[in-house]
Amino acid sequence: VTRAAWVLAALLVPTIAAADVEVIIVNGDAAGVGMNDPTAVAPVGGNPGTTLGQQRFNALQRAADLWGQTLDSEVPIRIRATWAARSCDATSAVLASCGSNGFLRDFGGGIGMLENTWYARALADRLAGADLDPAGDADMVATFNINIGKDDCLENAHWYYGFDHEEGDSGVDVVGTAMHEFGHGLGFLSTVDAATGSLLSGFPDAYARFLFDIQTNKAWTAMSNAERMASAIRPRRVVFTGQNAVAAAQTTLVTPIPRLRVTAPGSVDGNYEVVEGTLSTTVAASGVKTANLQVANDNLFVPRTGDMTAAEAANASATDGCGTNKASMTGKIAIVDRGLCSFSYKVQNAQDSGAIAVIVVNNVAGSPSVMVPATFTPPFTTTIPAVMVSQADGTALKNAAASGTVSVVLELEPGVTAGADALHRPFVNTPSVLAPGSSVSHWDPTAIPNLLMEPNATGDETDSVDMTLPAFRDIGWYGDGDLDGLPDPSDNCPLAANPEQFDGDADGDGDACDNCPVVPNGDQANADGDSVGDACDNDDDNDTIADSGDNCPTDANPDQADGDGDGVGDACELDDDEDGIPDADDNCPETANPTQEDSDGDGDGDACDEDSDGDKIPDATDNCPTMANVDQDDRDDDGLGDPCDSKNDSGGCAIAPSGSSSSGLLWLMLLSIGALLGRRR
Amino acid sequence: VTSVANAGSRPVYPGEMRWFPPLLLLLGACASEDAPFRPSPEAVQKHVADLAPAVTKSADGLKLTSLAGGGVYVDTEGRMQAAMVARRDASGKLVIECVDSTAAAESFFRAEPTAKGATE
Repeated sequence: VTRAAWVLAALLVPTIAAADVEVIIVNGDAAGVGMNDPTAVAPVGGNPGTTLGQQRFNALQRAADLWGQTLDSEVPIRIRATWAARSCDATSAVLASCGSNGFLRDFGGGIGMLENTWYARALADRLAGADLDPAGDADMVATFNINIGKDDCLENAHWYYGFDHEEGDSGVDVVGTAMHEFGHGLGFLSTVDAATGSLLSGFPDAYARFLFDIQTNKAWTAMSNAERMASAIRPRRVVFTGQNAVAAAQTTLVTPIPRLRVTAPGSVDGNYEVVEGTLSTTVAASGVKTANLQVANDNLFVPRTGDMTAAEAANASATDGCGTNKASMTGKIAIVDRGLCSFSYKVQNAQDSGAIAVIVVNNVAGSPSVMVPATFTPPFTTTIPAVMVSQADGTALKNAAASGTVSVVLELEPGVTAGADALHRPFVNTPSVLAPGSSVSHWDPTAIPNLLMEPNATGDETDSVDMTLPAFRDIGWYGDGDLDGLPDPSDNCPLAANPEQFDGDADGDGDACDNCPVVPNGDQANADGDSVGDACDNDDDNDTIADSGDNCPTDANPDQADGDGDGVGDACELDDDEDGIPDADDNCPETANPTQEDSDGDGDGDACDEDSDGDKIPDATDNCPTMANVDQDDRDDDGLGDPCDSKNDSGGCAIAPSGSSSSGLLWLMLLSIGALLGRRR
Repeated sequence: VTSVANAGSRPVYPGEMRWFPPLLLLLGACASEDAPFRPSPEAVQKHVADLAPAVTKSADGLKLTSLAGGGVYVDTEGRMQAAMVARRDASGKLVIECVDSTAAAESFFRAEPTAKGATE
């Protein structure tokens, strides 16, 4: 097959909608190999190539076209690609690599270029409107491992050349892999040296300019080398601050995340970061869980096939959750140690003992990990939520639970979603040194949904460039997104061409994109999501009730229901704990308690009352927290106060709760029986 | 890395049974139940050595060029890249991750990976 033949075949590949920039795959392979391999193959997954070489080229060009249709540049982007031997053995391999051939700064670029900032070559060309490469070489270089699937090179795997991302379990998606790696070459990459924290030749790159550490409140550009090194391994503490990425995160990263709120005792109360897995249900789906913690107390762990070896089982502890529990956990939230057996077993065991949720304590320092199901039998039937806490937090909670009652609420963290902080700034990947993973040049893997530029290939890749596109806008791609001649940062309508910049109400939003051009409304609030901003909309929630007479003007409630008659519609009554009881009527407004139990009748619901029974003994130390027992009597010394103890064991007799009207009678009967028995002797 | 030449183009590493790879895989799984697919230290070294020139962020020795029209250009000479790496997890499932440093690559090959999470 001649070079001309595969070029012709490539031209026959179905094209993507007209690209805004031409991205050219430059075939760097020698004759007869790589993209020139003449081996006959059948077309696959939309790739029409009939030789291996054609399919390889087509797959890379497909990825290039997908980027090309999303970026804007007058300068074509050239990627020199080769298929060559890379390191591998039977079960592992280097698949591919890609990067920019060079970086430029202070090149007199036009709109959007920042001074003293390195730009990847393709992006620099775009900003300058000309090819700046002094040597005329390609902008990016990419290499793919030609031996994948051969003997001793990731055996039983293969490159998948289809365009449909249907690579299957043993396939490696070339298009998805190339899209990701090309993304780095186009500028989604920090040039900061992770080993030293140093900037490239003393200057930051366009990507690093948007990295910000929320723990130290410092931008990466303002940090010392040592500070950058520390920040790079601070999980979920570094965000990308570009305004376009942040705006996109608000509509893309919308999955709520759980948190653990400890309500008692005071020594450990507060909010704890937890990471949810995909073992069973989610906290969002299962609802708020309010309960006491119960530290696991396991029976002997019996290793199962595919799980642990006998030798490892010998290291079992009573708190690892691997064995069945010695006591009931009914209504409790189990807290177990990570390690020894799979998470699935821990959750299954706790659930079988009656637990309503599981907290796994990490066994290494650093942030909690995402827990995923075991990949082997037996089938698990877990239906309770499970989360992981850090080793430090978990140890504190276990210690507290060992010496008293720890009351917790497993709930959703208000306003925070997976993959972003409370201000909707997307996290970049900053794994602890103990966890495998790449560095800040990726989105954090906790993001939901999965994103193209996360470090892990998740098998659900698509043609979408998702959150990467707005991030690219931030770093300089689309410096003038609407091509009206004004740079986005100073354009009052960056996505609507308006070179005249008219702004009739002087609210900062140009008339061309202002949802209420005659009334100043800088926030562009639009509760009902129609085309008219609230400031101009006399029915903000589109419920057909005019705002002036609507008892809930921004939440649709055509029935105007107002259960408590306070003039505020039920639909917009504040209900912070989402338990269905409006805050104004809730005896525990910040703790979900739909039943509103209030044992001591003091107006504070039991769920948030530190002394539920009003006996002046705090629940944390009360041996019967739901029934008043000032004397704390405990006849059988089992730790459970007599009023709560339906079966005192010391005498083998049932003792009625003190304070009960029947207690005196019962004692009288017992004394009588005793006297009778005494006489018989 | 200790290696011995063989008839093929690729070195054979101590302990490998090049003549029957499927058997090697099977024996490997039986010999080490806890990590049947974990790359050997030698293999990890080899992968990292292959990746190091591409993923290093070191600017040592890179040449800065002043452009005629203004500005500064640095040729990365093949550095500053990201790389996709793959291995099998304990169950034999293929796990793929992108790394941009040798430390990240080493961590990926040495630790027990999963597709976006941990099973134990």
